[in-house]
Amino acid sequence: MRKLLSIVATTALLTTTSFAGANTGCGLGNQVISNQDSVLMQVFAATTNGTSGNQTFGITSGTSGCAKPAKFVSNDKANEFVAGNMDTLALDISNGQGEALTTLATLLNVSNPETFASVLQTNFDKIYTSSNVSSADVIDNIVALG
Amino acid sequence: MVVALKKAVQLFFGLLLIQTSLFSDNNLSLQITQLSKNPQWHRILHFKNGKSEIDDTKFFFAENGKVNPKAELQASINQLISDKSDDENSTLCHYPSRSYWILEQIPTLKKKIKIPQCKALNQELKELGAKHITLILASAHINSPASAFGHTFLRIDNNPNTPLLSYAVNYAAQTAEDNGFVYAYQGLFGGYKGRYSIDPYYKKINEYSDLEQRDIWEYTLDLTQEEIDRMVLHIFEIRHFYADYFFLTENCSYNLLWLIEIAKQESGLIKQFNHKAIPIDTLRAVVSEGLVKKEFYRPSKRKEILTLSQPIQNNSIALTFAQSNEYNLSTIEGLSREEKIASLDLATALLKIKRSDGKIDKKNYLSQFLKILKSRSKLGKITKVKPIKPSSPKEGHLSAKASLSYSSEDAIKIRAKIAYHDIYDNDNGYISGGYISFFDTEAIYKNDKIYLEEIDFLNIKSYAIQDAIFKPISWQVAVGAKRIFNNELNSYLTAGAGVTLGRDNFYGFVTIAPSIYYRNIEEHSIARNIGLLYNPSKHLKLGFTASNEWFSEDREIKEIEPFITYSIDQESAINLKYEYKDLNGEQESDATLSWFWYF
Repeated sequence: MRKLLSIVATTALLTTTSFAGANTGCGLGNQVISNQDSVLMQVFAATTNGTSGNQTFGITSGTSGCAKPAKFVSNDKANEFVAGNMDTLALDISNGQGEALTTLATLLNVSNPETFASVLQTNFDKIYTSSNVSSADVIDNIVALG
Repeated sequence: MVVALKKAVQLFFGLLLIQTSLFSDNNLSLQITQLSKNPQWHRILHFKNGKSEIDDTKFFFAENGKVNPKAELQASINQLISDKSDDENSTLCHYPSRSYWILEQIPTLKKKIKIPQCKALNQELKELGAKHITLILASAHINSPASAFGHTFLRIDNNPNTPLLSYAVNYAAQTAEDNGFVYAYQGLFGGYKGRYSIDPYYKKINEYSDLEQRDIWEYTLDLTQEEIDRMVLHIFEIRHFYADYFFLTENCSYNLLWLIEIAKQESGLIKQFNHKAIPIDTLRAVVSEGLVKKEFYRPSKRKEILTLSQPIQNNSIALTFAQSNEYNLSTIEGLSREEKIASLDLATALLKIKRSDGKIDKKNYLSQFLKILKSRSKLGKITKVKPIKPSSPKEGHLSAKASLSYSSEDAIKIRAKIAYHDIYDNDNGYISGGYISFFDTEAIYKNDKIYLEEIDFLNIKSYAIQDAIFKPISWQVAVGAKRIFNNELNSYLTAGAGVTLGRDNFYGFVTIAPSIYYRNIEEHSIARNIGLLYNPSKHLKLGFTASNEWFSEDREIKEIEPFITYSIDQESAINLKYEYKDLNGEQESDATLSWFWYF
């Protein structure tokens, strides 16, 4: 597994990132709850071709405000990505495939993504130990598989 | 004598010096005059039809900068020269797009200005690492009219293989309005401020594909690194400023065209959109400029769910499990591995929808979520079947329509609408079953008289197909004026609901729709509509509709209407329809041959 996770100095290049956002928690189950627009609102919006919402400029250099994993502090980009995609990643790992999982493999500079995916799937219980698991725990648990 | 000569020489050189500096100032001012006419300078200012579309006064250094590109150029240059600060608010860091262009055009200026470090800007540019630009279309969602016209935004990619790490550039109106009337009014007449924003792309996928169940189409643009850099610098300048947002014209899609045109200077995109900019039309304009090199389809969650549940479509044990609240794993123990996988994957997907609809609390959601995933992780990997790619939105008909018809009653009919897609149009490139007409007007010329037959201000029909998993309600709403019994224009309002069954290109519907009519007196009716629509190819569409509408005082209108539409290309189609009407026993029928012109 260590070989799979050839986390070399290059990952330190990716130190600054920003998958920060008010809606992003550090644990599972933080998906956005949809707005239940009224029908009238929807009908009017239909005629007006608009999107609404608050504007953000989300390329702040920094972190999501989540705790950093103990064993893996150098890769902020991976930390942020995991924090922002907790549920999707859990789903992908349980499936042994998926875009979030492939992306994580790229971020971790994994040499064999297929094996990585299959090892993670087999060890799902060890990664997602409880429903309180945080993004830092997830990364620590993944790294610990080596 | 020598002194005098020396003086003369000094004077000469002095004059020469003055002359030179005068000459150079003249030269600069001449250069500025010329540069201020450069189309790229106009693009940087979002200058069109005699003024800048940016409404934020802070965008301009010159007082009359909004209407005078030359004054703005001169003032920008002066500002660059006089600003000696070195922080994030330095002119060059705050206005990088124009600064870069000015220094590129007048390189000698570099000596006259203090170049600040722009640390934060550089940090952000590095983080983006823009190598590719992708135009994204979040297509319409069948049962959500708010999305009926679709939505476009741009994606900035560093690595095309990991789009989840890319950033989305979005232009939107800022509003928290939840009153539909206010929203529509303000939106139409520029009451909101539009701004560009940047967010991680995965958030957009969560929003559109997962939450709103919309297909996403990704179009990688054919741009050089130099062009991409130009666009990115412009985004980093224009992000500070707002423009009044107009839903029909200066909207989300239109404002992306500025960014694309600033990159690809020779593309005449902006000038093509003066009265309305519908996302799908802007996409087609970008395609026809030859700017798209690759198309990628990202199916909505709903389509993924339907595909993954195919192995258990008729398996009641599996479906009961996936749609239950307890997810009792022992109930699916007897199923095959494939069936178990499909049951668990479907259960997860539906659980997530339940959560995002707020129908399950977080604690309960999490324990069920992990329980299902844990069970799923023991079953290994399967080859995932991808949902069938629908016809590409870039291939559909254009969104405005005019038609010329000849009817067997010896009448000539002229009809036109601003947008978008109606029941007679081929569904290719559009969401099937989602019909919306906007300002649809018909005039008839008959017996040497011309008269207005109908105006539909808005007519929406949402025939959302029900399947094994999802049971959406079909609905319709229309407001306008049309002729009924008294042969006079009556204003009317109709709203109805019903059920649609079938598949994407062949479905039938039933709706019940009450209406209110008004002209001098108010009249009420209730209608039952049925229909069958078949769209076998990108050229052919067949339909059959029938309705009974009951009015007060035992009056009834029966209508039967079969039609066929043959689409020649994106701009034209031929339609033949037959209408049979029974107005309280008075029967009439009429065959109409029409030429549709889309533009």
